[in-house]
Amino acid sequence: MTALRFLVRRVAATTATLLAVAVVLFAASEVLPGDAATSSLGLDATAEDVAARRVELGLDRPWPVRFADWLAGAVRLDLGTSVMSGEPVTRIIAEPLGATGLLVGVTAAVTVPLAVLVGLVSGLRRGGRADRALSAVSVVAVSVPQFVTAGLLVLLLADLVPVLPAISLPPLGGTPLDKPDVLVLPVLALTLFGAAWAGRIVRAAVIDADGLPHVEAARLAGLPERAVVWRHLLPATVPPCAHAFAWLLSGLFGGTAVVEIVFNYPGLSQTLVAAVRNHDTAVLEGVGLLLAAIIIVSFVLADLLVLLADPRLRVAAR
Amino acid sequence: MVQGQGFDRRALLRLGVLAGATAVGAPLLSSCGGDAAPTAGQPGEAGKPLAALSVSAPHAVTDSEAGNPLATSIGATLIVMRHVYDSLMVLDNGEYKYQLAESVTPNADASEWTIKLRSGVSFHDGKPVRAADVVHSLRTVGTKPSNRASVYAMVNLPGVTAVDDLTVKVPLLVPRGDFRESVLIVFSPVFPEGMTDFAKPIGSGPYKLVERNGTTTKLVANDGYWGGKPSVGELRIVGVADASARLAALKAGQVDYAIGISATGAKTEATNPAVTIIRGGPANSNALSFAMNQKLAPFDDPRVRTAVRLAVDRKALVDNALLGQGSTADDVVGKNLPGYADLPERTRDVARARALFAEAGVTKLTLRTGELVPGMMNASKLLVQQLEEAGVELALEELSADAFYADVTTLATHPFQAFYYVNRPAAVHLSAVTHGKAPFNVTGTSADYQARLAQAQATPDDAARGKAFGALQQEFYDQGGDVLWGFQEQLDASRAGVAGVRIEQSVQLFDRATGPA
Repeated sequence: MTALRFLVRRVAATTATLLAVAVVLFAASEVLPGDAATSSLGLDATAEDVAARRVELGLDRPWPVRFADWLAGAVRLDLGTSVMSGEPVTRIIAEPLGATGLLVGVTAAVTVPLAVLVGLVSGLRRGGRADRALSAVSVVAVSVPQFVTAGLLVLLLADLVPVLPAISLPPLGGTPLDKPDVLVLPVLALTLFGAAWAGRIVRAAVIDADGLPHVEAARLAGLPERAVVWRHLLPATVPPCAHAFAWLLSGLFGGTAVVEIVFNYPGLSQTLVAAVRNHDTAVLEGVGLLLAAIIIVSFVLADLLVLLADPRLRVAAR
Repeated sequence: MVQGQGFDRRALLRLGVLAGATAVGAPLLSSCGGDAAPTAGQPGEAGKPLAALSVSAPHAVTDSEAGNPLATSIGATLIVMRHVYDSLMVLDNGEYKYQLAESVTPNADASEWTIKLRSGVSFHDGKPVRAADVVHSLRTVGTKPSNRASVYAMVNLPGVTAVDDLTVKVPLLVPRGDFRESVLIVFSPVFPEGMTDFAKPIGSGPYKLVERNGTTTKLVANDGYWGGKPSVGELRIVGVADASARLAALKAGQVDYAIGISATGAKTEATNPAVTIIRGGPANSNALSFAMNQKLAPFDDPRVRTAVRLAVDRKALVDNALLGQGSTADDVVGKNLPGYADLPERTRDVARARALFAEAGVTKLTLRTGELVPGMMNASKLLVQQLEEAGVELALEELSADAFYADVTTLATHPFQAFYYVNRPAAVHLSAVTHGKAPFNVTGTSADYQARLAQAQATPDDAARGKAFGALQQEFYDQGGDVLWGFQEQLDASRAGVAGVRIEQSVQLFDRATGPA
């Protein structure tokens, strides 16, 4: 019963959040100067052309009415069509979503273990030489803007020592997986930042957990260090780290624009940026809601992970 | 495309002239001006045919799939278009030429035109190109959702008919002597009758489209092409949004030719022996302007317009704002293209500018500006200094490029603004941008000017029309509202040894490209 109530409450909250996101995105697109009529017509378009296009796109109606229209379609899973290309939003999003999903998946698979390792080594040997070196590298990796990191990687590994492709071209009739070398530089650029940032959080969590009474007790009971770390210390770091990784995952889905542009990677961020620029509200709503949903799901998963890791919460939930 | 700039709507602004690929036709109209198109590599260089060539070209994620003539946008989509489809007429080697058309002739008052087609031309599927195909093509690209429908605004599309297999009659809504250059040269791709879905494009051009995904389009040579067998066997056009990434792909060996690199990139690679930089010249450029609205104070006073023109140091602007990767302009669009009036070069005269400003009582001006193309903000800042030397204090009102264009009302009512045009033939530019209804008519042309423009457009005789448009250009030069100060040239880069690439109105043609001998 409690679990059902939890589920109902969660679904209701998710729906409310998505609705709020939809309203904000729609309103934001309205506030920006210009509209879809001017952005989809060229320099040679006359005032009549613009006016006609506005009517054609329904922009002559007040925005709440247009929003209600869009919403009525959206609940039937019809996300509308792009004002720029006239293609259905779902088709526009499908390919970049797949590409971004792959990039994020591979990046997460590399970043998460690396961040845990970095955090663990630094946290357990805090103040030591390894910690100081890793901390220095992390601070640099987090502080350097991503376009600089990406540009340097291209210069080093595609230009000076040409071992990797400078831009990510998925082969015709295939996916980036068919030519995995196109993924290396984008993943590397994202991992450098992600592992450094998350590594700092894991390090802090390890330091906090290291002082906990049950970890102390395990050590005093004479358990080998490895068992202390794996069975007692690491589980205690899960709650703070799970949310950090949820943030990381959400950030990777929505915030890879710089890396996508430098490596010409055909992902979601470029689609989002273009939709904002063009007042392509249907595409903006589609991508925005998708990203919001991914963020929500990431955090639900993080919550579940915390629930699994913390026996006290498990008991409380019952 | 120029300077790698241009996404989305602003890219659409660049859609000046586009037509089909190569042409072997006879010259049309007298060649008033018009230098030969720039060609990559050394002229006469002994190159050899290439089995394959890869090209990185500008691309926006919102672009439709390359090969759809209803939604051509920038770089990649245009290049694919021009290689897959032939057009009725094209601009080639600086001249208007017939391609699929053999002749295009008007009736007495230029209210109806007759297009005679070249015989013996086939589409990629082997079927002959007939008048019915042309009728279908013109109606399709002239009607929405085609994004070039406005080009056909003067054409009575339902009235277009096939007289016989090789003759098409095109009635116009108003008599227009400039039908060829204002419509057919601008956009007239031909595809088979009944073709409405462009998932598998079929044209009669030198290349066939065989495969594509979101970024790459693969074309193979149409060996039976009526204009001669193409020299490149397989052409891959790769859409890359960012100018630095296009150059990086060239340097990493992923492509052989990069379209639209930055001025900084061109300067940096100038000494690299592995890379050749190709400059498009004024014929393939953006024309950069400080536009004064003649209807609004203080620019309703011709002395103020003259003073600004004389105060501007064009060479300094090109050298600094464009890093020298461009050339100076003389207030009129169309230099090095057919129909240009060969106007004299403007020189700076600060003393006279100062005197004129003082006479007119102008001491302060405000320029609405933004980074509309790379370098525009630097140019605006330099203008502040240049006007200061002539005794005028200039304030800059800076906006983002999107906000700049989005506010159509202010565009039409602000006295002084930074602006850019595609450098295209003068007649096409004047017809499209300076008429009364154009929302981006930022120079506020007068009603009697517009009457003269309409008269010039209607003149059926080529020589008389050329003269009339020449007079309009002279009027713009003497009295107009544009301080057109520089041409920001198309900048490309190729692997050393690649030659024979032609650039026409900032669109690259690869069908006669060769590799190192």
